[in-house]
Amino acid sequence: MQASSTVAQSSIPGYRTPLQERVLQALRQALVLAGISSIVLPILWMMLTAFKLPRDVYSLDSALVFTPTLENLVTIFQHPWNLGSKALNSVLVASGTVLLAVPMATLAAYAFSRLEFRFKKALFLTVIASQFIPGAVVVLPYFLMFKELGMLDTRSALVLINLSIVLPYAVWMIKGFIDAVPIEMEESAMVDGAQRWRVLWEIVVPVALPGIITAAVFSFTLTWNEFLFALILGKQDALTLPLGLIGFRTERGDLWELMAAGGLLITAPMFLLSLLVHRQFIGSLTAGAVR
Amino acid sequence: MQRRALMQWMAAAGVVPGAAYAQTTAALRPGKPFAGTTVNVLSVVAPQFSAHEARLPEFEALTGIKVKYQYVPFASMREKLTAELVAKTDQYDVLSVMDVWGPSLYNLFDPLNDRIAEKKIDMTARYPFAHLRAARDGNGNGKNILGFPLRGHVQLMFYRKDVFNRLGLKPPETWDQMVDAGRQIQSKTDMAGVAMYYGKTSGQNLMIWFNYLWGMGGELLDAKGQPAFNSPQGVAATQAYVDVLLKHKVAPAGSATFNETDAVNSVAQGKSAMVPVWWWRYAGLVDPKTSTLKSDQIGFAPLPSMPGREATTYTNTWFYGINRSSKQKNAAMEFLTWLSDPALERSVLLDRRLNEVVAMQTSNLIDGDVNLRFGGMHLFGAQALKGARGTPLFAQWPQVSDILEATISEIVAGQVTVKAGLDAAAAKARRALRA
Amino acid sequence: MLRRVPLHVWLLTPALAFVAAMALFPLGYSLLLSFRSWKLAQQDTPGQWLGLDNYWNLLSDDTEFLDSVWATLVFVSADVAVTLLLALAAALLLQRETRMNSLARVLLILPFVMSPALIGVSFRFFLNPEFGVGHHLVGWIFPAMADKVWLADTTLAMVAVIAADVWHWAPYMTLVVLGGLASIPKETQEAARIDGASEWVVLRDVTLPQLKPVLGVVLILKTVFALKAFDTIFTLSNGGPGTSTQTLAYFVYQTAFNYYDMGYAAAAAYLLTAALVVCAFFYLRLLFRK
Repeated sequence: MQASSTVAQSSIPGYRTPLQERVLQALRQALVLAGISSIVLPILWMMLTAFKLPRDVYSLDSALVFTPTLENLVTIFQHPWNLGSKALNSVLVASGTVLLAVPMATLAAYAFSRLEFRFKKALFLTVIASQFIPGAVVVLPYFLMFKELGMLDTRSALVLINLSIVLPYAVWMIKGFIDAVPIEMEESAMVDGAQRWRVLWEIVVPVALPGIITAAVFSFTLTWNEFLFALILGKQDALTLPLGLIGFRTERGDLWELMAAGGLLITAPMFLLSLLVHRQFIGSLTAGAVR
Repeated sequence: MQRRALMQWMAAAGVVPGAAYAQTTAALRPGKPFAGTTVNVLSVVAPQFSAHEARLPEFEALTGIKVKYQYVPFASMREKLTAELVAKTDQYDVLSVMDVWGPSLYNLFDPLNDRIAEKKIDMTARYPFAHLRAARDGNGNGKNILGFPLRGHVQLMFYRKDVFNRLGLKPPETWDQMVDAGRQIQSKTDMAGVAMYYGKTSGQNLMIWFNYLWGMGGELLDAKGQPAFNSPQGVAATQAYVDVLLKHKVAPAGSATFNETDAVNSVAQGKSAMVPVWWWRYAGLVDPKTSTLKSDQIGFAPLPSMPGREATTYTNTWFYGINRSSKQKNAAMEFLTWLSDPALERSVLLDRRLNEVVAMQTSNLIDGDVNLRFGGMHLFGAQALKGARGTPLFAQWPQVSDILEATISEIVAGQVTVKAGLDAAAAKARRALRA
Repeated sequence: MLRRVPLHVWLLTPALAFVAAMALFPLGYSLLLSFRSWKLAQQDTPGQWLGLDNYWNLLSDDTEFLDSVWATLVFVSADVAVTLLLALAAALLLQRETRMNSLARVLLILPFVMSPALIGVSFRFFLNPEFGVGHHLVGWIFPAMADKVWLADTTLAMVAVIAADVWHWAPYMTLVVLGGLASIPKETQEAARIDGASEWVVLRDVTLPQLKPVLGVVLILKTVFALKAFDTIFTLSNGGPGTSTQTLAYFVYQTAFNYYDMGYAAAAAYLLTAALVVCAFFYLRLLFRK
């Protein structure tokens, strides 16, 4: 009896014995663990550094055993670093940019994906290509432009600049996800008499939502880390977090303990944000499975 | 130096006792004519500038002018200044520039000669020639003074006094002696001899190299302004410079990529016994937060030189000037007058809460109390400054500096020999100078 | 009247108008600048018209420029290839609903939100030969590496720079591919399985083809950012040792802000842009084929 069932089972392609399945599972878990470690260890290391005195930072012996201090975390909020107000500016500028970018990009992405019109390729290429040029070369013309507009050292200027930076990428990414939505879904809805707008809002957006969220996260992060424009255009009101972080690169060298403390300031809220977005993400992932 | 020996030496060297800082001696305009204006200063974060900022209330009380320090990262100051040069905004009234960034940025400033004359300040009496030169136009030779030198450095050799005493060594007076001392230290302790820094970082690996080059009679450019650093003297000097690691091996292996900070940390962590570096590094070497050493373990001496030649140093200088596009030039001048007052600099030097050694003005370099506090370091500085040569000041210096520091980095990484590397660098430099 | 305006115009106008308004002046200005001579040492407004001289000088006898092109090719191809493969593999691995996978997915965003400069500095500290944890860890696992000073070796420095950029981007790209995987209708995969296909065949013939658009986005997006990568390289290796990790982006920055040669920098930047436009053009032909 057993022999014949074994023969029958092994003739099914893709069949694995329970043992093989367990080994494979263990292997998968090991790989995931390796991946998690490679992400987490450098970050944990940085967090550890945030609590060290400078002399412990530069020594291997004090790598794990040292007298911890809260001094770094306190210092970064004081003058002249003022990371608190810089972080607030970063949050405002990044949020403002994303709130404007996502709707604009989704509309444009839908048009590029679903509609036919003249110069479509050329327009798309132009939108994307506007971001091909290295920032070092365009920052000065932007500076001149905003000087004429009287908008130097304002958060609004930073939002506008970051919006122009992220829009091409957001359009591009969302278009990619809308492309992956089967056209039959929309066609069947339109046959039933639905307008384009409704189709867009009720069918396409929910299915492409993982992509839209991804693009939103991308836009937020790009703005969050944007440094060059904030440096050149800011004076005291529009200083953002990256300026604070790079400010720790002083004449005395890189003040790694303070940078790590600043990094801690960034990571913790981002981790929370990720948890929030993740729940949405997971919802979309499983919802996509059902559809 | 022991205190009595120090005092005797100072008396012999003509040290001048200074007055206690009661208030500024600056020639400010009476009657607070600019009260209510705000002067914006673009600055980097450094303990010296923070010390100035802490003393601003005094200035505001005297003149009614509010001064705001706007900080940018040190690593980004250059971009900021370039943007200001191009856009000519009036966001900042007072700007500061470092000479190694090249005289291109000097176009940001108004000449100050008339204002200085009005305040009756004698710049040549106040400042050593090497520092004042960096604040002039015309590649250091012009007649216009563009700012007040406010931060400038000399190089010293810092060494582990305790280790040297234990091994019966004297601080080296020549580079060869440095190598010998290094060998002895490496054979008798587990420390490296001298922490060199050959890594490519903003021209830092050229700071000591210049001393080798000039010490051997080499020059950066010849009389026609063409590259001369690949002359036989230049090659010999560079070879001696890199041989500290490559041939004699008295530097830690990491020296190949060390920047200045890494090298200083090597000493602060007890891994190396010597480091030739800027004098302001002293504070970091004796502060228990940043160093494992106590202040009596660190000694300093003038930088070694070539046999038979005077001890000298390479210097670099920052100056503060008035932005051409500023709308508050008079108020800015009041501020600079107050800031550059010798008495202010002296009070920072004597402030027990700080370990700030940076001093620009001759009167403070030979001041008795200052030297007492810092064990005669400033007298060394004054003497070294007499023969000092500063950053080459010509428009293409940033390119030439980059080419040279990349070449040194390549040589130490073993990618190219000294002669081949310098010749290739000279070809690249010729091309840059052509432009 | 309004009803006669085509739909695509309504949808596109906000984004396009904005991009055009914001980008037109700076891009036009810098393009024109690339045809002129402007050295801040000599003049504070753009100088004489040079025609194509800047471009010609760059391509014909600027060895530093050509070296940086080579370094860029090496950096970008390795960076993009490794990131793409890692992202795909990790996404496939993390699809299943397990607790560990859930945890992993939440962590994926973290490297991406770190400032590139912060990553560069931290990798530099890891690899410091005296106190770097990374340096000593690698030396412990591979004793042959214990004495190698990473940032003094041209190959290892390039590896370090690539590793830092991969660390920054690959986890995020994994998220993107995961999103793509989620958009694939499960019925197509189920149908194949019912027809008797093994997991490998399902992956190759059903999943991957449907993943193409997303993978395409990852590919070209990463290429663009790899070509523009600057902060990480600047803080990690500073273009060294020598100029071996000096990429085009670094060259442009250096020419503009260290050498104050604005026209020349603009020309170099537009050469980089031209190369990217050509790549994008070919990519778009693939993308818009239905």
